[in-house]
Amino acid sequence: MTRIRLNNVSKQFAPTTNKANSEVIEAVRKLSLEIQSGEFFTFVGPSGCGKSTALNLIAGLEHASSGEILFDDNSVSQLEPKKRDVAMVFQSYALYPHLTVFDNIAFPLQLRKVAKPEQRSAVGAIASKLGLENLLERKPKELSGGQRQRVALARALIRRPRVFLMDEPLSNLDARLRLEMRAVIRRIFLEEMITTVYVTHDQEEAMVLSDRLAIMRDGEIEQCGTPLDMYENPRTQFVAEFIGNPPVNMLKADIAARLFPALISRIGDSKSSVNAAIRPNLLTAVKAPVSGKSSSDTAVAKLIEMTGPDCWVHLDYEGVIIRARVPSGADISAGEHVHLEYSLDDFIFFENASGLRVELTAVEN
Amino acid sequence: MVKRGAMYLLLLVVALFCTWPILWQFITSLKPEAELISLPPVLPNKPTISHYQSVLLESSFIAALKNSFLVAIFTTLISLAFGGLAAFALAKLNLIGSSLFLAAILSISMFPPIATISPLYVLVNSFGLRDTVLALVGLYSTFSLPLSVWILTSFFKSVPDELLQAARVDGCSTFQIFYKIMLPVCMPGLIATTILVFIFSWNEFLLALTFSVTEASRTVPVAIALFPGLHEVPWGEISAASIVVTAPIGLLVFMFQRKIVAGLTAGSVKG
Repeated sequence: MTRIRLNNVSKQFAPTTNKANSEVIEAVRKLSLEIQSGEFFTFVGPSGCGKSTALNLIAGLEHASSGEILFDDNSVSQLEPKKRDVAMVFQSYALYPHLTVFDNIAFPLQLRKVAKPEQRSAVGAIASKLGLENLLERKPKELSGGQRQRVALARALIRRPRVFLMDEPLSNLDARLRLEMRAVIRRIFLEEMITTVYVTHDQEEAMVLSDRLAIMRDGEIEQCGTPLDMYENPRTQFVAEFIGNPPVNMLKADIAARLFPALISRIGDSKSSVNAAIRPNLLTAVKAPVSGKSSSDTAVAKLIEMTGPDCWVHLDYEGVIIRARVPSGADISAGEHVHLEYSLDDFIFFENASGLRVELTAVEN
Repeated sequence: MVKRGAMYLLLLVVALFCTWPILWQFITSLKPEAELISLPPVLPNKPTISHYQSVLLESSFIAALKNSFLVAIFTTLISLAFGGLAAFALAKLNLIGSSLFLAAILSISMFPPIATISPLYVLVNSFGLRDTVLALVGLYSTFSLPLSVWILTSFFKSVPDELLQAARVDGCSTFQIFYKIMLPVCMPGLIATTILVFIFSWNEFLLALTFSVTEASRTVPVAIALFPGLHEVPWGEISAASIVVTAPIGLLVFMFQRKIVAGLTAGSVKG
C-alpha cells in the first residue's frame, strides 16, 4: 500500500526539431496532488490535457522537469521505473509478440530471477483469476482483444507492484467488452487493494471506477474529488460540461431567462455575464404544463433518443439545442412543441469570462 | 480465365528471362569439353560432372571458398552486432541529431568503392594487412555497416514505443530491452540484413582483387576470374565454379524465406 504525492510537478517537452516555429510544450504544469494508499484514482480529460504525461511521470517513463514525486515519504523523482516498483497496462496492451501468454505474464518475474516453480504457481494463480488458464501456450496474435487485455492485466499484477498504472486500457475494446472489463478491473482492484492510477478520456469510465478523480485541462487539474462531488458540485464550467451523459445544458443567461421565466429572479442584472447550466435528467418534457410546477416557454422537439430505460429529447429554442428527459408514457414526437418542467434550485451558474462557478441567490423583490 | 492464363504466361516469361543466365551456366557446367562452344546441342548429349571434379579437387579453389566463407561470416557478424546497436540507439533512444547522423551514414555509403581504393590501399599496407582475410573483413564491414544500420533502423522504428515502455516498467534495463524484446521482435529484419550483407561480401570483387595477392586471402570471385589461362578459357570449369559458389546463397535465402515473410510483429498491438 503506497501513498503517492506530487509536489509542483511540471513537465516540458523540447520543441520538435523538424518544425520551425514550434515552442516548448508544457504538458503538465505545477501539478500538486496526493493519492491515498489503496485508492483508485483517475486522471480524466480531453486528449492533449496532460493526463498520460502525468501517468508517465508517476511511472518514471518520463522525468519531471521540476517538482517532486514521492511514494510514501520517499522521493522517487530520479528513479527508473524498475526501481519504483510500478506496473503498467497500456492502451495497445503492449504484449511481447514473440512470447507465449505464459512467458508474457511471467516476464517481470523472469527479469527478477524468481525460481521457475514459483513462477509457474504465480502465473497459474493469476491466470485462473482472469480466466486465462487455457490460453497460456498461445501467442498474443492468436488472442482476441479482450483476452489480450486480460493478459496485460495479469502481467502487471503478477508481482504485486506498489503502484498499479493504467493508460486508457479499455479504449481499444468494443463497447460491450469495455463494460465487462471495467467490472473486471474494479473487482481485481478490490481484491488486491493496490494503489491504482488510471487514465481515461471517458468520463463515465472514470466515474464508475474511481474512488476519486481529477479532471485535467491544458496540463492543470481543473477539479479533483469523488465522482459524485464532481457531478453535483462542478467548480468550473469545463467540469460541468465534461462530466455527465447526456451532457449538461449550458445556456447563455439571457436565453435561459426567456426559456425558464422563473430564472429571472436569480439572474437579475447579470444576464450578460453568466451561463446557466442544468442536467438533462432534471428537465422533464411535457406537452402541456401542469399547474403547481415551474414550466418553460415552448421549444420544438427535434430529435428523440430512446436508450431503453431512458428517453431523451433534443429541443430547439432560438437556435440553441437543449436536452431533456421524456417521462415514460409521454408520447412526444419530433416537430411537436413542448414545455419543460424544472426546479429553480437545480440550476447552477458560471461566470462567462472565468468559467468559475458563481452562486446566485434569489434577488429580493 | 484467359486473363489468368495470360498472366501466368507473362510470369513464366519473366521468370525464365531472369533465371536464364544461371540455367545456361548450369547447362554449360555439365557439357563435355567438345560440346562447350558448339550450338546445337542446347542440352548436353552426354552430361558430365568432370568440370565439378576438377574444380573441387583444385586446392586453390577450396582455399578461396574457405576465405570467402570466413570473410562473409565475420563481416555479417560485425555488421549485425555494431549495426544493431547503432540502429537501436538511432531508432529508439531519442538521440539529438539522429536524423542528421542517418543522413551522414547514407551519404558515406554512396561513395563508389573505386574512388576510395587508393587511400584504402595505402591504409591497408601501412597496417601491414595486405593479403589478409582480416583486411577484407574490415573493409567489407565499413561498406556494409551503413546498409545494415539503415535497414535495422527502419525495422526498429516500426516497433511501437509502448512495447518498449512496457518492458521498461516490467524491469528491463535498456540493454535488456534491446536483446530481450527488440531483437526477437525484429527477427525478420535481422535475417534480411544478414542475407544482404552476406551476399555483398560473398560477391564483392573489386576490393578483393586489389587486396588479395595469394591464396592466403583470395576469395572465390577473384579465384574464378583468374581461371582463364594464356591460351584458353576453361568455360566448363568457370561454369561449374559459379554454380558451386551460388549454391550457399541460394540455400541461405531458401532457408530463411519463410522467416522473412512471417510478420512477427502481428499481435503485439491491436491491428
